[in-house]
Amino acid sequence: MTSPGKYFPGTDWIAYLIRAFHVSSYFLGAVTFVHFTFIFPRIRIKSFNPFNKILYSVSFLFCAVLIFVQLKSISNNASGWVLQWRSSGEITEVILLISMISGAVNLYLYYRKIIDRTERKKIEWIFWGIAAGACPFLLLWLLPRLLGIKEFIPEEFLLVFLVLVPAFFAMAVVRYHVFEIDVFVKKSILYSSLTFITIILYFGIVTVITFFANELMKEYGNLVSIFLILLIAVIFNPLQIRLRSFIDRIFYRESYNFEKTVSDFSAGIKNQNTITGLSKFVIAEIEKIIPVKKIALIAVTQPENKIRILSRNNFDDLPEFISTLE
Amino acid sequence: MSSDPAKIISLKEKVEPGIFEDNLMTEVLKKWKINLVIPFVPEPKDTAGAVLLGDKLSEIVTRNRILKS
Repeated sequence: MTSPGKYFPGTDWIAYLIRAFHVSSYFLGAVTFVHFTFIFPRIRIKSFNPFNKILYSVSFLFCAVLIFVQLKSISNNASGWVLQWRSSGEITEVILLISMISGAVNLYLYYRKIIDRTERKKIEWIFWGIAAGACPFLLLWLLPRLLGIKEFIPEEFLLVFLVLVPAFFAMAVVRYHVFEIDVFVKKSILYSSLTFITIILYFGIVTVITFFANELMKEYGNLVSIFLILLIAVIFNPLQIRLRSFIDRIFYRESYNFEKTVSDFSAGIKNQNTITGLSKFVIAEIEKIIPVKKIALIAVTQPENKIRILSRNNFDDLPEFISTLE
Repeated sequence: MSSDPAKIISLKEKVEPGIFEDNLMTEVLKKWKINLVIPFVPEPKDTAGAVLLGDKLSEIVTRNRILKS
C-alpha cells in the first residue's frame, strides 16, 4: 500500500505518479494476494498461465480506468467525475475485502488438506503474518467504510500494522525455509557482517594506534595500513567459517544442548498416552534437532510381523517402500 | 520402543567417518531417497521398528545452489 500524503493536492508529475500508484495499490494488492494464495507453498491451479494472464489483464485495465477517473475528478473538479471516482473507490474497496477473505479461505482450505507438519507451520506463519498486518486495516477501516459508518482508526495509523507482515515472513524464512530464499539471506548476512567487522577492525586499530602512538602513525602510517590489511587477510577465513557456522545454527538449529534436549525429550514422552501421540512427538522432536526433508517412524507388529507406519512427515512413498521390504 | 539404537543403516557419504554403519542397503536407500535408518532392537535378533530420515534441509539448499550455479 502507498499513501499520497502531502502529494494529494499537488499538480506536479510526482504528485500524479504517487496518486496513480496509491489508487492502483489497493486493487493490485488484492489481486496479487489472491494470486499468492494459489501459488504458495506450491502452484495448485491448472492452466495457471492463462488464469494469470486474464487476472492481471483485467486488473491493469481496471487500474487504468481508476487512474483516469481520479485524474479527471481532480483536474476538472466536476461533480460527475467526482461521483464516478467515489463509486470506483467503493468498487475497489469491495473487491479488496472479497479478495482478502477469499484468499484467506483458499489458504485455509489448503492448510486443512496437508498433513506434513513443516508445510503446515510454513502456512501458519505466513497466514498469521497476513492476518496481523491486514486484519486491523480490514476490520477497523475498510469494513466500517463499506457499512457506511465512520472508520474507527484513520488509515495512515493502520499502516503501522503492515510492519508485522515482513516480520512474520522473516520468521517463516528463518525457521521453516519458506520460499527457499534462506540461502540468499544467509549469504547477505554473512558478507555484510564480514564487511562490517573488517571495517570496524581496521579503523578501530588505526584509531587506537593513533591515540597511543600518534608519531609512529605519522611516520609509518603506510606500513601500519599494509600490516593491518595482511592481518585482516589472515583472519578473514577463520572469521568467515565462525560466522557461517553461527548463521547456520540460527537457520538450521543443528546445534543443541544435548543434556537439555534429552531431558526435554524424556519429559515430553511421559505426557504421551497413545502410540500415535508418542510417534508424532518423537518425529517432531527429531525434526527439531535435525531438520530433514522427510522423516518417518515405523514399527514391526507382532505376531503378524508386519511393518506399520506410526508417523511420517513428507514421506508419501513410504507405503510403497515398505511393500518392497515385505 | 524403549530400546537402544542398534547399528544404523545409511548411505556411506551421509554419515560422519568412523560411525559404525551398515552399507548393505545402499541401492535400496538411494532408490527411495532415504539417507539414514535408525533401527530399534529390543531383543538380540528382532527389530521392533526404525526411524527413517531423508535429506537434511541444509543439504537440499546447498545442492540447489550448486545446481543453479
